[in-house]
Amino acid sequence: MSLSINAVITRDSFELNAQFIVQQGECVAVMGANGSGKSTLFAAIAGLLPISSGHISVNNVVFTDTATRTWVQPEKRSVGLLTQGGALFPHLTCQQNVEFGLRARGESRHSRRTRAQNMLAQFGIDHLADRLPHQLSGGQRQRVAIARTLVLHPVALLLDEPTVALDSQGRTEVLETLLATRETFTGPIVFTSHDERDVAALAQRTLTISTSARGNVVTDM
Amino acid sequence: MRRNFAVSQAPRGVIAAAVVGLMLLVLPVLAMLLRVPWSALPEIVTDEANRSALLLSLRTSVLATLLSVAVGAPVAWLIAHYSFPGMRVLRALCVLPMVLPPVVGGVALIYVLGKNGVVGQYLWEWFGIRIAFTESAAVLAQFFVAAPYFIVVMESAFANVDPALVGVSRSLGARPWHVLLRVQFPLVRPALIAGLVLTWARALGEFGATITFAGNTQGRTQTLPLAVYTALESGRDAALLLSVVLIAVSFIVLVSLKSHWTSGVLRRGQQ
Repeated sequence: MSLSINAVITRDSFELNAQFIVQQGECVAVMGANGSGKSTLFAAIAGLLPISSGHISVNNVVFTDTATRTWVQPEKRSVGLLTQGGALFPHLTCQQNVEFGLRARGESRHSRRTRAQNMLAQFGIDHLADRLPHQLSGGQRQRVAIARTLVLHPVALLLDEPTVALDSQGRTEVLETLLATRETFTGPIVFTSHDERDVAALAQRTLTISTSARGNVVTDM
Repeated sequence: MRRNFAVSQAPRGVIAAAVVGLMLLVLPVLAMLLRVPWSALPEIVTDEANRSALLLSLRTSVLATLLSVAVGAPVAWLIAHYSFPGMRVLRALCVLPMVLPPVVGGVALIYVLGKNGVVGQYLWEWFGIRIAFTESAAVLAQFFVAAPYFIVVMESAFANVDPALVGVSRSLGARPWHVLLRVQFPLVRPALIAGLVLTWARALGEFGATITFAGNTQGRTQTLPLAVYTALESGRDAALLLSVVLIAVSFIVLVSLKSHWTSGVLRRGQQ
């Protein structure tokens, strides 16, 4: 039960060679310079970007394998992806944002409402339910985005720069939420960060993307 | 809401240039209104041929607009999301009707859908369907000329939707259709409305392609702009009055659409 990746990801002229395993319940930081391919790595795991060769699997479910031509659509992967800035839907309230994935799965109105409300309450942001994203602070936005992901019980969590561009209060709020999540979440967690303090607070292990002329590499071998 | 004074203070010359622009746009219409023989209005409006031209215009322009949405929005979506060799050429071809003289567009349509056209000959041979010089032809002519406006507006709107939102929706379990209906369409709504208005206005005023491809048969393909043209041959008065009717209809529809729909959008945006 783990996230396992052994793949070459190419995007235009850029190449990233990723080879690592994250265990169930483990929280791993991926560090690297801007443009070293952190977001690209997450996009590939979530299925938003095809890999050129290799395989990615979570809990022994193969998401993609170029050898067997396996490809699971992103909506079937059930990966919790938190992109930079949260990417909340600007036209939906916080409640509707959290309900989005449940609605896409065809869950009944009553059930998704209850689940979303419980999720927001658990994060202490139920008073924001009817607000639109642009009425929130950066930290609040990020917490709604985390709630939107966790309400779906994802098999793995991918957090791309969860505290970037937040003020100190927002950073504290998000870090607290993530620490609590780390305690309860049973799947593998991978996050990227520029901030040594985040890494120290959250990560049990750190992987670094090394850059070279032959392409970027991230490995735990 | 009063704007910040420093922000809204016009640079020197801008107001003068704007006045010239407004005069060039508004004066011709005003001048026409001044010359309209109003006493003849009831006669013109109740005239059977004119009424049928008005109704035909409304019907065909609405159908052409709906067709633009149904097939133009998908074209815009594809252009905004895919890049492949030849895409730029394809895109240029799609908006070509904007720079083409509409009469040429009408001729092009005859070559495709006319009785001897590339497609038209088979429609006629196999199904007995004739399109040229029918009401359908008027709709297609208006579509050909107006749809590019819709495509251009929608393409940039789709391209402006943050790709992260689309990626996240997929990752949250949304299939492509769900993403389109629940994320992309709500976000391009203001552009959609602007595109609809622009497209409909262009379709309503269409003249060249319609007269070439659909003809000028009273009661069948004679839309209001064509009726104005026909009336002009017999005398200015009727043409002027018909123009006034055309202007009034467009004006009422545009103003009511804009205030009704865009106010909703604005309210949302300001929340």
